[in-house]
Amino acid sequence: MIRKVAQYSFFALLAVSCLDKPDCYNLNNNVIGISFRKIADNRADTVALLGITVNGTDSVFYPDVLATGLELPLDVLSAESNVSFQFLGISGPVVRNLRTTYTSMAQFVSEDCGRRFIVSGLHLEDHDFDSVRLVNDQPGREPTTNYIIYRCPITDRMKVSFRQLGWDSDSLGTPLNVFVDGITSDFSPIVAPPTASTFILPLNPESSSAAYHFDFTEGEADLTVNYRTVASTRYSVCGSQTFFTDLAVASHSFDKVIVLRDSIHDPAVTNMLLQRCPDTNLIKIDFVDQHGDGGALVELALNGIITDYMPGIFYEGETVSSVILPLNDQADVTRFTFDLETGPVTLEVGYARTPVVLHGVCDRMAISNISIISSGFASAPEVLASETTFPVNTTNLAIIPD
Amino acid sequence: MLFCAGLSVFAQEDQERDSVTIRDFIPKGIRVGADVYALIRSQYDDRFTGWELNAEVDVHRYFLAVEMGNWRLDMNTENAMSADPAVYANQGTYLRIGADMNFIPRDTHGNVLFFGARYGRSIFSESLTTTVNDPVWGSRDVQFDTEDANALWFEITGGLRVRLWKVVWLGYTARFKFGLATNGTGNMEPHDVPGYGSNEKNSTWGFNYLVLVSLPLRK
Repeated sequence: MIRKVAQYSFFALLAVSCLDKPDCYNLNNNVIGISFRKIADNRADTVALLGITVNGTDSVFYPDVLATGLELPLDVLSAESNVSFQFLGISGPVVRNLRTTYTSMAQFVSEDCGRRFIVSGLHLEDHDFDSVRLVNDQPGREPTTNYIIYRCPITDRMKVSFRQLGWDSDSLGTPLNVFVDGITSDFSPIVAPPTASTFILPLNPESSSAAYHFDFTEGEADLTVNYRTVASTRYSVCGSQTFFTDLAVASHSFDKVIVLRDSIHDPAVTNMLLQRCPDTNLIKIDFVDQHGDGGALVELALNGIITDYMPGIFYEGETVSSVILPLNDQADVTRFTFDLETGPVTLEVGYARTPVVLHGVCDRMAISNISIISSGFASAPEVLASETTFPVNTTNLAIIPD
Repeated sequence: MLFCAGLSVFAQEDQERDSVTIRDFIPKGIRVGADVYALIRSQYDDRFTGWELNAEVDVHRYFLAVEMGNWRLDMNTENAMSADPAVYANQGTYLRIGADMNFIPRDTHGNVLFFGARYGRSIFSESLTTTVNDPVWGSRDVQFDTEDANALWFEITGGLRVRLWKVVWLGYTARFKFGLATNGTGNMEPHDVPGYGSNEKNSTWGFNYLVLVSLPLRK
C-alpha cells in the first residue's frame, strides 16, 4: 500500500514539474495606448500628427499621419515619460505635452528568455491638453488604451467648399479641386494644403467679421464673412467658449457664393460653397488617323498651341491625342496656331454666339454653329459637334495630323 | 497552543476516563534530518547550491515540523539564442514551520503516511546584470540589486517516513506551495524565492528526499 502511494506520488510530481515552460515572446509590457476623443460626444477624434517625441530619444513617432489612437513605448530604465505631441493646426504646428510616471521592475525570466521588465502604476503627472483621463494604469505587451485625450469643441472653424457649376440647373455644382499658393486672413495665419476642394478657415472671435484672400496658382480671390459671436460655457473643463452664428457673406470676388449653414459644427461641415461658373467656350479637338467611324486617336507631339486673342501657350511640349481649347467669346472667329515639329499650322474656327445667364450670375456666351473657316492641315478638319458642352465631354473637331 | 488547550480541558474533565490519550500527547521523540535531493543537486547542477535541515517532533499522531534551508542560484543567458545578455544570482535562507498528521498511527513498524501544512518565510537577495538593447533608446548596461527582500507563503504537505534501520529513517515530503507574497524587492521583481521557487507561479510544487535520525525523548 505504502509503496504504491509512494510510486504514484513520485511520478505525479515528475509530470507536474514538466509544465510551465516559459514563453519568450514579447516579454516587456512597456507599451501604452493613447486614444483621442471629443468631449462633446465621446467619439473618436481624428488628429493630424506632425510627430511625437519622447524624452531620452531622438526618435519621432507617427510623423505626418492622421490618427484616432496610437501606441508609444515606455523606457523600461526610466520612471517617467514626457511625451510631446506636435499636431498640424490650422494656423501652424501646435504642441501639446503629457507627462506620465510609472514603475518599471526588472525580472530574470529564464536562461532561454533572459530578463524582462514589468511596467505598472501609470500615473498622470501633468498635461496641457483640454482633458486627459487615465483609464488603465497597466501598460501592455500589445496595444491597449491607457490614456484618453479629450478635446473641447472647436467652435471657430468654418469650412468652405469649391464647386464647379455646369450648364444644368444644379445650383450646388460638383467638387472642384483648386490649387492654392496660400490663403491669408486679416487676423491669423492659415496653413492650407496646396490643393484641395475644401478648406477649413478660422473665424476671428475678437471681431464680427473675417476677411480672407485666396492666392490661387492661377488668379486670386477675396471673401469677407460676417457673423455673430456668443460666449457660453457648455463644458466646465472647456471654460467659456465663443460660438459663431449667423454666418453671412459680406463680399466676395468669386463667381458665386452660397451659405449652406450659418453656424459652426464640430467636426466641420461645409458652411459655404465657393462656386465657379461654367466655361461655355471650350471646344474639344481630337487627332485621328482618318475621318469617320473607323478613325482612331493618334498622338501628336506639340511644341505648343497659341490663340489670336489671349496670351499663353497651351499644351507646351506635350504629346497628346486630343486638346481642349478656349474660343474667343468676344468674336465670331478664333484662330489657333499649332506649333508642330514640322512647323506651324493654322486653324480658324468660326461659330455663333448667344448671350446666356446661368445660375443667375454667370454671364456667358453659348457657342453654336461651329465651322472651319480655314485650315493649314493637309486634310480638312471634320466638325463632329457644332455646340460646346460643359463639362467638355463631346468632341467638336477631328483633325488628321500631317 | 490548540493542542495544549485541548490537553488542559481534556485533563480536567476526563482525566480518569482518557488517561491514555493524555499520555500520548507527550512528545515521544524527535527526528532530525537533511534533504538529500538538495545536497545531490548541489553537486550536479552548476546553477544551484543549497541545503535543507528538517526536524519533526512526534506528538501523538501529529508531528510538529521545523525546516530550515538555504539556496543560491546562478544563471545566465550565455547559451540563449536571442535574449539580451543577462546574469542573475540570488541567495537566501528560509524557514518553514507547521504540523503533519499521521494517517497510519497503528502501523506495526511505526511508518508514517502524513498530510500537513506549513508556513514559510524567506529572506533573500537578488542581483541582475544585463544589457538592454532597445531600438528606441539604444543599448545600455544596467545592474539591479536587491538586499534583504523577504517573502512568505503557505504549503500543504504530504509524504512518507519509513524506518530503514533502528534510528535511521527515509522519507519524502511533497509540498503544494501557494499564497506567495514578497516585500522589499526594490526595483526588481523576484525570479526565484529560496524555499518557494519561481515567483512567477501562484502555486508550485516542492519535493524533499529526506534521511532522518530519530532521537527518542521517552520510552
